[in-house]
Amino acid sequence: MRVMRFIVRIAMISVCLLSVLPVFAQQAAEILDQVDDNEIYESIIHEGEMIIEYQGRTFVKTFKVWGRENKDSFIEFTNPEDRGTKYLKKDGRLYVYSPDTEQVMLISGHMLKESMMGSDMSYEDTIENERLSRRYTATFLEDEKVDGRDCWVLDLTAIKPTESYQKRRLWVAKDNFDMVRAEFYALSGSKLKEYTLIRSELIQGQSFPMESEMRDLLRKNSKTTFRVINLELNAPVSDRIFSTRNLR
Amino acid sequence: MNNLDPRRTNRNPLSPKRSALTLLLVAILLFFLPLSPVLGQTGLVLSGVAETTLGLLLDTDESWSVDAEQFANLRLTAPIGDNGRFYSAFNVLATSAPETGIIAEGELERLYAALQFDTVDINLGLMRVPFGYGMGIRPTDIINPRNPLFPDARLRGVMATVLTWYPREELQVQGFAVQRSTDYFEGQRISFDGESLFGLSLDHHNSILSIQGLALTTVPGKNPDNYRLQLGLSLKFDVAVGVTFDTLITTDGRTEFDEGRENAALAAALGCDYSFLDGRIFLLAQYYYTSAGPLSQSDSVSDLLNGEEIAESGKSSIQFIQSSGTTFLRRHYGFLTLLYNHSDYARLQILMLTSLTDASIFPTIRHEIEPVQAVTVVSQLVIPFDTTLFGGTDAGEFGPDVAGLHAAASFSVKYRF
Repeated sequence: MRVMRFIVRIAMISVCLLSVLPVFAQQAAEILDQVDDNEIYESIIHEGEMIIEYQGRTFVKTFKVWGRENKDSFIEFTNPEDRGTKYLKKDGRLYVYSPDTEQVMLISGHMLKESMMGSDMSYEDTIENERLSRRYTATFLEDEKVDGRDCWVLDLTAIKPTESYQKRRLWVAKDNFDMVRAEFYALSGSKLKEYTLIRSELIQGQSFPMESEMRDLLRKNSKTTFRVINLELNAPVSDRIFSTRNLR
Repeated sequence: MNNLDPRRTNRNPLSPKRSALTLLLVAILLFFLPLSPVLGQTGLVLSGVAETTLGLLLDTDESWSVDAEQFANLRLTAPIGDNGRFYSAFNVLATSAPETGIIAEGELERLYAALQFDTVDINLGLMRVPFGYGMGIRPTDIINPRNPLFPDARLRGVMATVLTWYPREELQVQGFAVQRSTDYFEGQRISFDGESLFGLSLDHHNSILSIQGLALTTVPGKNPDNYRLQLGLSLKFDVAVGVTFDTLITTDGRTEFDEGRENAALAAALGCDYSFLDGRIFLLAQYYYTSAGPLSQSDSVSDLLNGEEIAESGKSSIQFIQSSGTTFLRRHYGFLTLLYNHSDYARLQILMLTSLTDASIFPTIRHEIEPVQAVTVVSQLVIPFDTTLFGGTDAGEFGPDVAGLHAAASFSVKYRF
């Protein structure tokens, strides 16, 4: 009789859990959609600063960025020693121009995992542009406070095996869907990178990350801080910007 | 200095006539340097690289020599209205060696205007005109050929007019006219001549393939035998590995076959590149074939060094066409690049050019580290070797006798500004 009662209880709990899980999954997908919406724009122009702290040394790189439809982007470095180095991300391909060799070079697929300009970001990190909600399946994990902000914690699993990070964990602010923290994992489950939002601003109704930090955990004592300066969202940008001819 | 000498690879030898004018221009430029913030407001940008090098050379006669060098590449750009930009660059070089004392030289490296219109770009002046996609030896890069052993070296410019039309985003059609001096073999000696080149190129890119076609012809200077027609094709496949193929066919345009004279030459390079461990290790391997090599398998490089007649030499004026920054004497070559990034600010690079016919190898081992922002410390070692080092009698194409040295080491500090 006791055994019977125990089985009934377990069955009832299971039914309750199974009925709640799809709700959590739906909620997680909606949250991820909102995170994506925060970073959707028709065009973007801004200046930027990349402060790389690497094993006790500091390297500061400045640049200007033009982007359109979260798809194409053009970056020109302006700090003295890298002045004239340009990157074009277009149709999923990445081209670089170096003023030393005076040549446009297509970065081959197998080279995309290399660090970009010595930062904690790889080339692959910079060219990913499709919405997270289309590339990952999200599951709700728990609620957690980060720096005093109430957050949802989501676990993301890649839909395609070709994703550079097979798993991600996101901390999403409940008040404005800021991605306040993220962790990036390999297929083996080892943590590769950490992202922390330092400051965001409300621009044209979108909460945009203005200062953030990335740590490549495979590099010892290393972090890169990104600062966005003079941001313009949805301003007109000429098609000529996103052309290989603009690299020279 | 021969074409393998590491002393000439980072920069080109300068002629005295050009030196005086360039030094004057550089002096004017340096005078304006303190005003750079003012220049910045007008859109003028001054940048460049300064490099201090200490070199140690072990000659083939077993004597050691030490030289010091100060080099700067100064670049100045300025806007031309809304649609153009003016580019200039100067090389200044001061060398000091026991046998020569201090020598200061200067050279105008770039001086051109680049104008952009809706679908057309026009570039005019002293510039580089690169062709081909190969990462090491690149036979189609015939206007300003580079030395594969020193891929980052700045290359001498040519006077050119380049018109580029972009009918579609992924398509580029380029017409060019170039005036330059060229070297060719006259019997056993190298002679110099001026020539004009006219040509067309076409570039097309899609998601996995880049393709470039090239056709050019020459109007020879004082040596009419220097006429040639060249057709090139360059391909880059971006699949799991990077695969590049560059080929160049050269003909002297004659339809009749003269006895003892070759009418056409073929050069082709096939290469693969791949990186491992998330980009920590990069490997490039290339095979290069050139039919224009004057030495057959039975010929000895020693014969060439001793000035004796070589069976295959002197047969064609197109045998010695420079298909890259290095003159190739034989037909089959291998090229290897191994790059190890032991951090994102330090790397070890090994580049090897080998003649597969006589098993001679010219390796360059380079270590670069960025201790602070804008500063790179470069250590480099070059040790050419061939079978003579193991008791053989025939000198190899890339051996110490041809290179003129047993070993060369250098230590440089490079500053970017």
